[in-house]
Amino acid sequence: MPDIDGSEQRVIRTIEEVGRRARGSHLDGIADERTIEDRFAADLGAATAHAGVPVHSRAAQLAARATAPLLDQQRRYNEAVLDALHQLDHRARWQDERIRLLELEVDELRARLGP
Amino acid sequence: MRVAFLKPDHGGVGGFERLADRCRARLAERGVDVTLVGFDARSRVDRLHGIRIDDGTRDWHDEYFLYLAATQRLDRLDLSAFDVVVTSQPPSYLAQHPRIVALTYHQARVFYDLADEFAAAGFVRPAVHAAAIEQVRALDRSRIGRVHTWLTGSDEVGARLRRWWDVDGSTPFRAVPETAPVPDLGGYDPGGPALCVSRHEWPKRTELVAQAAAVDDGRWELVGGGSRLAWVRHLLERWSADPSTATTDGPDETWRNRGAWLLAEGDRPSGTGPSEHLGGRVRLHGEVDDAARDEAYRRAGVVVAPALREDYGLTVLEAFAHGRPVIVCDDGGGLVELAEGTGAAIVVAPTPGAIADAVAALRDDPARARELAAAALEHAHRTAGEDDLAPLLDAVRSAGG
Repeated sequence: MPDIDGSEQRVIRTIEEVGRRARGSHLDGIADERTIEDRFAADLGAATAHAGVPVHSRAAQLAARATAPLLDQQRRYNEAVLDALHQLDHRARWQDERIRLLELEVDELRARLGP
Repeated sequence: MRVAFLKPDHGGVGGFERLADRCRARLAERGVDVTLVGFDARSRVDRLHGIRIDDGTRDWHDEYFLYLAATQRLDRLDLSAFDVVVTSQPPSYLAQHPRIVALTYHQARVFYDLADEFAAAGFVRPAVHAAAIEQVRALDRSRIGRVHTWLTGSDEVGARLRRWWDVDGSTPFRAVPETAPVPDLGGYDPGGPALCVSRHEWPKRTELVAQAAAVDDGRWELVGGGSRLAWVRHLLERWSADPSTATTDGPDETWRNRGAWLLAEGDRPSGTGPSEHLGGRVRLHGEVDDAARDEAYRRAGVVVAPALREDYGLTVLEAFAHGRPVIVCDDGGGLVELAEGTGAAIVVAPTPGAIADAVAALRDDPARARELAAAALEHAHRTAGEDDLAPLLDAVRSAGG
């Protein structure tokens, strides 16, 4: 284990930055190797699965495509998913808890980023 | 219904794979399709979330960077085809899925209940560890809200979830050992070797058993492999060469370290060496197959389980299944839970002297040792018929709707 004090501060900064990005990847999809579109379709697929719509079914793909225009690089990932969920027919919504968590995450993100 | 059992791959096949096999068979009887999904949790990466992690950086806190690398791989899994995901070791319960049943034996312990011990043992500098702890806890906190049901392997684990994550209402899940109880005590010899069956890892504290053996005059056996096997052998060689050091070496110094205490900077204990020590009284078997392990249980007069704050304690249950009394340490966590109240175990302070005294007391009082052995076997028979998988099956059904 190295013990150089200057290096220690550099490592601490790296630990903090990697950790921050790890949490950010969950919120924003920054580090996910799948494309944003893939993730979005997967999330929407999962969202419709709860209502009995198989993830890879035509119905789920249609749901994903129908909401795809919401994907805008200027928008936050979770905001897009959240909007899409709200626009889906209520029968195709996954569950309220998921929406509540997404809303919380978006709020936290906004608070962190400031106005 | 399609169920995934999600398992971080640390190398080797362990208890969770065997448990998954049992669950798979039981769920298959009910028409449920179970798939074991693994993800790499042991390979190091040179880049995390766009940041380069060179060897020099990684060495400062290997566990932290491994944890984040495993989480990153976890995030790449597409679990959308599964109705329910059953998770296991960290960080699998951070998976992105709406219906998670978390079969929990421990959190990433060096960032939680073993955080202080980890730094005290010299594995990481305190300031670096503090930064890593803060990040891991924040990451975990941001995700654990997705878990539908927490199944906990012991009260010890349930208490940790409450303490660190405010998780109330976890469901007990107590796996039974795969070893069926023997029909009777057969040729039980209370004067048989004191046996420790454990991997040699920090903080399993097999060093305490080795030192207890060194200050005792009876026969002892240690069964199990692990990254600290060479270190335990090194200690036994030290105490064989100069038995007086076994009484003067501080017990905390022998296990609360990185496996290089008293060695010169950069030195490591030899990876090879004899299996017999202290005049042949002590045998260090290393890794053995199940048959050899069971034979060791049959020879044993008593079984010692010295681990610190263990999550559960299958060793105790295996010893009971063989009708052998058990000695555990009072800070043994799940081990104490399993041992206390059975009439088959002795709880001692976590010192070599206390362990050696308890072993000697049983050896010198065969009648009492037989009482404990009989209670151990009775306990094993009483619990053998329990349906240990029922809470898991119920949780999967509930999560799957």
